[in-house]
Amino acid sequence: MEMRARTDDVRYALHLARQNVLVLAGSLLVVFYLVISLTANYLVEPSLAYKFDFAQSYCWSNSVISWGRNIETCPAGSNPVLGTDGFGRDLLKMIVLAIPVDISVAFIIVATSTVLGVVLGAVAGEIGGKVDELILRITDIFLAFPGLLLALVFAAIFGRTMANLIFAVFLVWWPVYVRLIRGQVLSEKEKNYVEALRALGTGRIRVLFNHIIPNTIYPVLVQSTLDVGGVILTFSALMFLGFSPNPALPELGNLAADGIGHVFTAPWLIVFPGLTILAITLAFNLIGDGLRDILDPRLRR
Amino acid sequence: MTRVQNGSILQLKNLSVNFRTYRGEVRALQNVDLEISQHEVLALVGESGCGKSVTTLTILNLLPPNGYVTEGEILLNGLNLFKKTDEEMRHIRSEEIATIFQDPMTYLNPVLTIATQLKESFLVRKDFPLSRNQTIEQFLATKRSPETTKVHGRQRADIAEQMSVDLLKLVRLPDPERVMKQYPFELSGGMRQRCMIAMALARRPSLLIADEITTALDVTIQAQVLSLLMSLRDTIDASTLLITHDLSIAAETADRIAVMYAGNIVEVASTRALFRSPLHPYTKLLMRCIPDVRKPKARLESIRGNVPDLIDPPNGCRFNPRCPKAMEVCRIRKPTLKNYGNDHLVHCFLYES
Amino acid sequence: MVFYLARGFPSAFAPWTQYITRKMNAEQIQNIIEQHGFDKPLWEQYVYWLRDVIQGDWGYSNWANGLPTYEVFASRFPYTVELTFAATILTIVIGIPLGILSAIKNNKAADHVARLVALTGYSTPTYWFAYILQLVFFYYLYTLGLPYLPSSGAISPTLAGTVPATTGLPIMDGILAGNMNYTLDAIAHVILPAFTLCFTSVGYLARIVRASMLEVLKQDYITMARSKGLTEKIVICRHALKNALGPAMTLTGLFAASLLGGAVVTEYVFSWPGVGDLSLQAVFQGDSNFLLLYTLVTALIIIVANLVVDIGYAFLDPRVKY
Repeated sequence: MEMRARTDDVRYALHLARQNVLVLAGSLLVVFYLVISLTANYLVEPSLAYKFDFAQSYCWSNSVISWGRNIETCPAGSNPVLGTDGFGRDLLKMIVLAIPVDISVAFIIVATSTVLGVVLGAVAGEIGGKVDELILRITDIFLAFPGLLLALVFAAIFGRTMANLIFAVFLVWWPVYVRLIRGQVLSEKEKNYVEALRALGTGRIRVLFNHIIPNTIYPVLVQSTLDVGGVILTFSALMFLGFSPNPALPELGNLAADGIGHVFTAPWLIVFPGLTILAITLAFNLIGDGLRDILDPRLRR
Repeated sequence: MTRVQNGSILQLKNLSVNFRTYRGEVRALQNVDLEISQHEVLALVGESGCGKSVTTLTILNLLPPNGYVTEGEILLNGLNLFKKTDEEMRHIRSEEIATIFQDPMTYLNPVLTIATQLKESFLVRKDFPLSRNQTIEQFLATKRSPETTKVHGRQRADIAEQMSVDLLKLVRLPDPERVMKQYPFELSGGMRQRCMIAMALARRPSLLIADEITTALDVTIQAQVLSLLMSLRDTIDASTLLITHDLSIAAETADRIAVMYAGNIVEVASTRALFRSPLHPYTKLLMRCIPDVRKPKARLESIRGNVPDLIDPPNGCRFNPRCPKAMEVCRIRKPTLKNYGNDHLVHCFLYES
Repeated sequence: MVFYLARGFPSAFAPWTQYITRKMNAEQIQNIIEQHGFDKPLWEQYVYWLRDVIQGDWGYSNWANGLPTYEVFASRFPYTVELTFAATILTIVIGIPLGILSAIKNNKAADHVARLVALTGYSTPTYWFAYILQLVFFYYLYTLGLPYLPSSGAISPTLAGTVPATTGLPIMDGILAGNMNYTLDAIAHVILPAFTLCFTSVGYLARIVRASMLEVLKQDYITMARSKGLTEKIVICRHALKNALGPAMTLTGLFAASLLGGAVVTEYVFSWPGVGDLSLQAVFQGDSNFLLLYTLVTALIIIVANLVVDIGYAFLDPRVKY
């Protein structure tokens, strides 16, 4: 019976989703970007990332957009659609290569944060007492600082390898889930069915994982979707500020960083990678925001 | 608006209201006919969920966005309310109809003082105050000022302040100056309800709607509030629509009683006539549910079955699944209104000749 | 409240900031190490540090010409305050009406547009937007010969120092000194960075306001207010708003607090002489003293901000008592 109620829920949710233009647009975009990330290595030869050609760095040849004066035009024979970066690489191709990097990093971080956060939060809420206090304190410390700052400091401490950077951002994101789930678990615990299950003799852990967590999954879902965008923003910001392990790494923030010193002579370096970040984040945020509205139990009839 | 002297204040004609929900259309009100004459108290009685509050909201044009009127009309003093614009309806709500709602805790704004909420009830009418230096009783007794008096904003507020205090005294609230400064959560349930009554009276309506005003109160307070309402009603000379699920309350206060079931009116009669000879099976069952003090050992009666689902109500007369006298025809068609004599109206095939 | 203090301080600083100290070790010569006690075990170092802090000795900021950390911090802090102020005001002024509008016109075209704008703002990378603004408002307007907005610093170099720095906030100083030229210049400088900061969070604020407004508008007392015949405007402004602004206020408070901690990226892009920019440099230079002070102050600010928000709540909602 629970399954049927659940599928009804899902169908209702989809029904609402279909009515919402923005969510649809967001989903389309997300699909688009996911497709690109999966096929990126086929669209663009990955080794191009490391083929430097300094003869044609910072040049623009597309006649569609004019960036004003002082723009170097590319030597004849090459026609990079979105200009070239400091290494002389075609920007468009680099962006295409960078998208999967960012998206996969974001997924990794969000997935691990969610899992850890949910487990910790559920444990904290369920067991209560000293364990709860401890987890809560740790979480609060992390939450007290604005995300980027914390990530910065962690990145500075840990050093510049990819894995460390991912870890740094991860450390910033997991506390949110702990708070979220803990609150949900606490209120679920009060509900009648939990008492009933306990009376039947179901073990605490089973109750927790089989019943409580599935029922509190909605806000987590919403938060995760929104966080994908947030993580991309933070991670690329880190790269932008110079923490990249490898200056030539195709990553959106990194590509943008290249353009810092050349804002007025090669603006496309900042504009287009940033625009891509914007689009990806927007796509996920549209879905997440739409999800939040759809899954809000109070707005349904 | 001109007043119809001996006519009806409010007339609901063939009113049907639906709600759009995901699971389907809820047919909340079906072909409701109701009439309230001047100076009279009409009680609308029925179980929870039978559509009484929907009636109130429909009259006020304050239905939630998914509610809509499918047919019928509402006439206030002969004027069709559905033909009014929003602005005109707002005007009507501020001057002609005042509602006292069920739960004073949720219907009073928790972050505003009683003073603010009461004063705005006075100030909402453009012709306030009627004339300077009136007592509150005089104020309440006059419905309209003969000519518009020019009183400035600051003075209006001051007069409203003074009137508010007087009005709170009138509704028998102890220490009204203090109450003015308080917030709703600082008052007891009975006191809050009196404030709501005061807010309704301040607008000097011609129609007073009291929607289950005693439901959230305990019995002793109930009696006080009701007697207060009845005494004040005479002061302001308004007709009253009293909505309740409690027949005994209706018996004490109403001139006429309308019985409602699942969105339909089933019987309308003067209080006396209803109690002396209830016609509709539902009415009879309702009366049996009231415990009789003279027979303390008798079992408590109840009506078997449940209130029908209004998305898919029973065919024909909506009461037929629970009716002890149900006949074949009851399941097929709806009964029409029959005047049994002396304005005792009933919807039942038992009385169709 | 005391809880908060106890929570925020000790644990935050003991474990990981000491790592930074370690980094410095490699650069320190031996006698300085001994002088500052870096070779002692971690927790001892921490105790010493705490003692120093309480006595007001923040240590020295190594790279900034050996100036005391405190001075370095204090000289930059007012600029951050000014930026925070401007950004917060801007966000409130745009965000709250936007949210209210969204709630009133729920699910109609205006709502969808507002939501799109809000989400776009929320999805924008700060640094990118900052550069775009610079590009458009500074570079292009300049090259096109139109009046443009300055792209860096808090005040034009030509005007710097012409007004006594009473508060340290350029705009305030200008007003206090009666020098309108100075003030206007300061305002012109603060517009772009403030707008950058505001753009990314105004959407979030608007969404929160919208959500709580929608909640409030479904309440019974709103029906009651409408049944009194009050105009919709009064219903919203007098009855609904006060109830709906709670979460929005919390958000704004935390927003301002985090800005006070220094909007790192924005300050960097606009060369705004604030604390955030400084912290970035400190991180790269491994300047642990500064970072310690910085994190201390930031934590303090956030704690204070939480308190302020809580008190503010008491104003909005008479049911909350202290």
